[in-house]
Amino acid sequence: MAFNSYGFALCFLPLVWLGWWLAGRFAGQRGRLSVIVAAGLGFYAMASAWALPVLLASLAGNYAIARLIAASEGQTRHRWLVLGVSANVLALLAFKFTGFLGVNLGWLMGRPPLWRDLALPLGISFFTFQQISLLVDLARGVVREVRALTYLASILFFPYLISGPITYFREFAPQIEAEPRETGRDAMAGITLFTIGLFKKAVLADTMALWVDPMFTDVAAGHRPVAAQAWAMVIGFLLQMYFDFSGYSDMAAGCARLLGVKLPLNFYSPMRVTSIMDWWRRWHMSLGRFVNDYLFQSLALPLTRWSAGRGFGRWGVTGFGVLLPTAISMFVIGAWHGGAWTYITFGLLHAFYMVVAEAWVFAHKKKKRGAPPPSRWVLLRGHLLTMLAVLIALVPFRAPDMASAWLLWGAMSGLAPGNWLTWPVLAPVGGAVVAGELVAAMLIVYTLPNTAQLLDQLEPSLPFAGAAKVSRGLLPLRWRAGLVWGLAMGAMLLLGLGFVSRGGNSFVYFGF
Amino acid sequence: MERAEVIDRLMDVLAETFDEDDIAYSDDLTAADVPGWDSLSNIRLMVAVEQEFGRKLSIGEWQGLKKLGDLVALLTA
Repeated sequence: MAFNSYGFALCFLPLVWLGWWLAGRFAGQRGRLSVIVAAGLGFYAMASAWALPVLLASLAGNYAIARLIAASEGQTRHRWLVLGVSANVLALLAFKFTGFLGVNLGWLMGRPPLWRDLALPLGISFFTFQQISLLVDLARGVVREVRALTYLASILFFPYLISGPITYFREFAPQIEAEPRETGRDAMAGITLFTIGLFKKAVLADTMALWVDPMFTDVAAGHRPVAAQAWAMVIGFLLQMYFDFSGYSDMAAGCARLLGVKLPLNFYSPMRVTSIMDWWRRWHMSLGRFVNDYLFQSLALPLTRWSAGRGFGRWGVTGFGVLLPTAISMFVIGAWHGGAWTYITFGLLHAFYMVVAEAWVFAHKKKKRGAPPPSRWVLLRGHLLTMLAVLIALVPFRAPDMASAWLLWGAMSGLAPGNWLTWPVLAPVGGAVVAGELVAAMLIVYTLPNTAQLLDQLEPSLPFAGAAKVSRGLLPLRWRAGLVWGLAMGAMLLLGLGFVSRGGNSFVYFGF
Repeated sequence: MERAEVIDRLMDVLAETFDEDDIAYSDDLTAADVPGWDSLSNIRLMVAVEQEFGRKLSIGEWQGLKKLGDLVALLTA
């Protein structure tokens, strides 16, 4: 059951909310938490019943380890942490990369794939990441105690169970354990967030997918796209995925808020950035944050200590302490998407971008002091370069295989033979429709405030430190309680629900 | 170690790490107040502080710090 279905929006969500509210009134905190745990189990069972044992095993194993970490100290605590994190990582690797390993080992031996892919349990990446963050925070002493029911609710919380945003236990527990004080305001914020997310997904993203998908299918069949088509389909896919995944994230935040919980942000106008570092601070933010907190820092601190202790110079310490952990982190972010050379290429490209960008910033640090703020031209140049880098890396992300990726890169370079105007796959839609949709999507991205900015009166998310620096766009709209916005949101909700009837596509990130 | 001495040595480390000579000490100073104090330079700061004061701090200890005064308190203890 997905957020963009009638069963969820019109039945499951209202029923769970009612159950949660009634349980809170008559059975207090334990009642509310029990409803959330039951709802999570029901939601998962309806979405992917066969994988329920995997989820339950993860819950039982991680809860046991969490208790052991909390009850121990020093070396013993460290050993339990290593055991817990390794078990989680190995399980994730096994489900994601077994098939990939079988294919490539077979290829090395000149034989067909040695074994087949394992079926991927829905949401395994996301609930595994949540477990890892809890175990590490317990070991670091950031989280001190874990109550069983709160723990279950924190992993089984259906708004983020399948696809994030990755929310830390330390952010979730105090909110879910607290007595809800503003049920009315939370409900209004929740419904508004859900509405905007549904509109982004059902109306915007799924409409672009109607021509983006066939174009990629055509390239996968070996047809060489012309330059204009290649650019249109890659830009179209970036916009489709943005509206899809940020729409999903808004809907998740809306569902959570109905139950009195604010989630961390996942997107903050990522297409208005001026550097690749900025991109990763504002695109799939909860994943970037997770990798920064638990992988990057765990590598960077010992490596910086080690290189500084050896007396390496400025560049030596930066190379080992910053650039190497950055490259590893970006590679992991890419490769995590799945066992395929396309995702590995995506990760390597972003690792390369980030290392070059970090080294560039480091090399120019001295000169930056006391310098005036960058000019508009420098910002525009940074923006265009960043988007170019993002689009180039997006090709293998979306392409079904590396052969398609090379066809697309060749076409985008303009060097591949072919007519700029012939555009065979477009016939059913027409170039005007594609151009119109691209322009409309870009207008939304470049001129309107993002969801969090639009709804700032409702405090739609946990705070984001970089928010103040991001402009609200050329049309700085601001939601206010009242008739006008009420009608606008009502219309968006109806439109969103109407568009669901053409058959809701799955969310792009349900596959990871 | 005396508080005043800790602050003195700490501010030298900050100036060196962030390339910024005129950071004034305040208990409430946070990363947001110092240009260039981001998650990357923070790692360099952590190691520079460790070297200056000759002790290793865990990531958990660092995460518990909300403002500069907390770090001074940790180092003075």
